[in-house]
Amino acid sequence: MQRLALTLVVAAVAVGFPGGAAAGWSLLGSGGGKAKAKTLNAGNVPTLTNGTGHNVSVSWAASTYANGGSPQGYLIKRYTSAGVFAANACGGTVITTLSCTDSASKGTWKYTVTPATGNWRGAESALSAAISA
Amino acid sequence: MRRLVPFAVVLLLLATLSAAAAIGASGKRRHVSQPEGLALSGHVVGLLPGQHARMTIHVKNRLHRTIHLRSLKTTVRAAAPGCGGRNLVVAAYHGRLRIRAGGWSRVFVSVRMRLDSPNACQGKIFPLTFKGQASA
Repeated sequence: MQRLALTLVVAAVAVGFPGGAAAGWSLLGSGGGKAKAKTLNAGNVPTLTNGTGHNVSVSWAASTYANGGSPQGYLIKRYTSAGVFAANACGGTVITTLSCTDSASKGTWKYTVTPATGNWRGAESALSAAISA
Repeated sequence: MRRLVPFAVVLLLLATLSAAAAIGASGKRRHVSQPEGLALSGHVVGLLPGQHARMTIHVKNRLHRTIHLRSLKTTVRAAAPGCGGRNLVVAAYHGRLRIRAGGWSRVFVSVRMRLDSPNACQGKIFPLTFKGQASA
């Protein structure tokens, strides 16, 4: 009877650990983390000079991201001397240089600069000084 | 002779059960989920639209035996309203990275923010969840 009991125990142990007969086993684990996107700083106020005809030459200093680096380009906007939006200047597209020539009509104008990377936009700069085109 | 019959029956039962168990176990590996056994963590900063970055994921083996990291996948959750997790693409790791008992190692994976990611993603933090699989 004792022999029978001992045999039953051995059988139970063998059945209880089938992994022992396998080649190995797999472990699953998890954890967390984070990914942070950059932030565009505001544009710098542009300086203006008269060009030929009613053209206005607009130039500005480069903007940066909060942790360094330069944006892809800039959007330039033209405002009336009263500060009312008039038009997207310099072709209305993202300018990758730090200056452009705007074909303005006769009048007195102010300009702003907005840093741009893809769909991202930095804060628009303050209005420039006025210029008579 | 009659005393040996029960013993023979049990032996037969043992042999049958052991064989069945071995066949079942050898067909596939045994999966054990032990959050305290394999710890994963990582972060990346400076993400920009259209740019690639490299993220370092730390893998800690808290077991008392050597393991081999086989795969690691990352799930990205929304960073903000209007900035879903799909704006960030994180590559998966597949390999056989040996990590000794109680040790740790690093895995590098590529992270890319989509070029058309919306302005709402600017300056935001994407929560990440890592899931790894290792063999021992």
